[in-house]
Amino acid sequence: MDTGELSLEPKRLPPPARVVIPLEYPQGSVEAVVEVGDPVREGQCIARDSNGILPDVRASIAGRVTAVQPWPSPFGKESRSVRIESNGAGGEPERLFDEGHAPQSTQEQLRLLSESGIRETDVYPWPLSVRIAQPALTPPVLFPFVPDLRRPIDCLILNGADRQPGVLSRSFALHSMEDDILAGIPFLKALSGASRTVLAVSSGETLGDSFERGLRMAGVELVRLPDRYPASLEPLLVQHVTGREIPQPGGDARTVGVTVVDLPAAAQVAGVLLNGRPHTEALVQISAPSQWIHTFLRVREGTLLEDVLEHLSPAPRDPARVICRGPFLGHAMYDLRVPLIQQTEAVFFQEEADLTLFEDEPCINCGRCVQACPMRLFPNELSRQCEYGRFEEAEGNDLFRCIECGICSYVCPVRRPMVHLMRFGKSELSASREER
Amino acid sequence: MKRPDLHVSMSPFVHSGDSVRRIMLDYLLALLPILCAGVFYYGWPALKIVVLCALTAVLTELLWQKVMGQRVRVLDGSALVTGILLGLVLSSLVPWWLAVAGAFTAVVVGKHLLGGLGNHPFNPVVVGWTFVQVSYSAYMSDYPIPHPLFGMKTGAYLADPYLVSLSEDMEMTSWVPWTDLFIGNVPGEIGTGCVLAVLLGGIYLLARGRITWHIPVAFVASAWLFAMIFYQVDPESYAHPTYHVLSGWMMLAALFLATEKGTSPLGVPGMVMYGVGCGLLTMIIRTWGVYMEGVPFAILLMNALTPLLDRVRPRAVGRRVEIA
Repeated sequence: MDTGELSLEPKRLPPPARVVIPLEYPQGSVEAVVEVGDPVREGQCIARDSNGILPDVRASIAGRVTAVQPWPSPFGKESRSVRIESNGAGGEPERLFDEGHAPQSTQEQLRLLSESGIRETDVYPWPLSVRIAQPALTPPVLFPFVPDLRRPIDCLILNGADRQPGVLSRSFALHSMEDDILAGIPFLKALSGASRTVLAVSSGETLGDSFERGLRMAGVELVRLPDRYPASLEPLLVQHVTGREIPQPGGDARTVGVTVVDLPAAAQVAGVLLNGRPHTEALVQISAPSQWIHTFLRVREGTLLEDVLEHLSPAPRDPARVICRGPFLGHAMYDLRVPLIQQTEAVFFQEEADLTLFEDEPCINCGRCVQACPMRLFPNELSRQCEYGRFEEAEGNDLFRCIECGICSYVCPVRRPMVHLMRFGKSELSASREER
Repeated sequence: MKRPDLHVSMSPFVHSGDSVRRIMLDYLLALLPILCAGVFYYGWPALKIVVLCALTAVLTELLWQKVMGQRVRVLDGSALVTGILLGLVLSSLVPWWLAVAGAFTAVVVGKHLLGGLGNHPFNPVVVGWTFVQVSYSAYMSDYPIPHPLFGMKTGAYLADPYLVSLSEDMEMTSWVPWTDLFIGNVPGEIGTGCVLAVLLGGIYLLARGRITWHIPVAFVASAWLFAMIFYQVDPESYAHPTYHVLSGWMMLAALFLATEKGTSPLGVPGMVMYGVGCGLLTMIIRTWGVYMEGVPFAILLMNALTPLLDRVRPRAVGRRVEIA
């Protein structure tokens, strides 16, 4: 996919009159701690996980809470969300700690990471503050549920390779947040206790001399990934860097003693731990490839896409499909009022002419998907078994090892909805498990 | 802002643009040099047979899909490729009705009755060929001498199709220059003689990713090694392995017929075993069978084994190795 030129200077838009901040995330949901009518300050905590695991949610503008209601979310579903109307006045944003009282103990630093509201674009089973903590720092209550957290972390991978073609948020961080990254590395190393720290970048990437020197000084090894989707997804990344296979399903990097951190999140760590800046902004790429529109926006978390489009010039014209979170792994939106949050990562606009639609065709066994599958599955057979309701057979053929990267759909000559069928099979199997 | 009507669908939202038509276009381009070589050596009758097969195959598929009330997909070109490939494995001297009968059988029996594109167990081209070979074998053993076009020397030293020599005149096999076998200056079927053209087409398919190297290499290498063993034991009664590899259907089949998707395994271990099986069976049938050419029967037999060979899979990434 041609992504054209992307400016490294993100546009800043005027502060929005309203924001909507979702409370439900793929890892779970958090509870609102404010009520309708409450005034909020910028940076104030508005929602918190009752189990204390998921990161807090912070208000991104000062104003008044006007609703806690379901709203479209960038994950393609409706999610309970807090709506805040701006009061116009900026006010002093809340800080996580007072000047000169930066936390020194690692326990406190972890707590701060969780409170700051940093969320990563990749969907990891556990938030950053849990994954990055070495066993000694992990709350012991988690061990019975996640035995893998007992395992020491021996390799820390900062993932600076973009998740999918066309989405450039990580290479953007790599080039524009170099100092923040370097400042965050010592904290991440100390928290994880990893003996090896790796920055994974795409093979085509050129890094600045001073940045490379800084990485060497910080003891970070540079590993280049094949410039080929889906090399940067967690299971393949870990395999490429360490040679270890993550057991699927149910495994994650911690199962093999590795922790992967998204680079943009790593770049925020120093800001949180040194300056007490809570996370209130989202970096979002807006792209309409067929109209040569590619922009990075820095917006207040929860700004609605609809409001952004009004201020954007040039704005994408005639959208026929709007995709959040990228062309391979994302979700098509049914409503332009979707909020832009950190995990939105990128919004793609497709015109009627760019639409690639699936077709109801039988598989022709051409084997393209078998050649392409990074997990060495036989998607042709899996998709048929899911289509005809033979779910147990599909499970026997490693259905649950599918990581839904979408490369099989991408190459399929008859345009079968492969990922859709796999997800269907997985959900049917899980549903029948629950019934039992 | 007016709310537009938005398409909602599952990921991914982009596509490579590949289609059955593009696959078949690649096959047509790959078959072009082979067809040219056939016409070059055997003249216009060769073109007539290939065109007849192609037309019959396309019209048969169109008719079948209309009559059966299926969606008409004849324009995807798969029937065209089947027809042309069938024409290429026939001699240019076969009567016209035989070509028509073969193409009709290939499309109706080989392809549609047994499951349709990509889901038929046997290669339709080989099914069509086997039908006419078994039913009308008397018409199938007539092969033209290469025509001395453009000042080429005739292969006058070889009056018989060269594989017949294996059973009738073993000494002949050592006289035939390998260069003639390679460029196709020998009597034979329209598309099988010129190994050079077949290799050109095959390399194109490989470069385009339409086939992988595993089946062709396993096929030809195992046939060569098998023949080498017997040649080493007794060069008087067994032909040189290179003669075997360069003659008959071997190259065309290894690159175009054995690799047919849907009838061959898709996993690498299966593909290698399938190729080795094809190579060994070919040599066994050629050396001790009643038929002159063993390749089509070897392919049919291995097609039948394909579902079994596809059970042999590489371990999925992340699959725990269970320790018994």
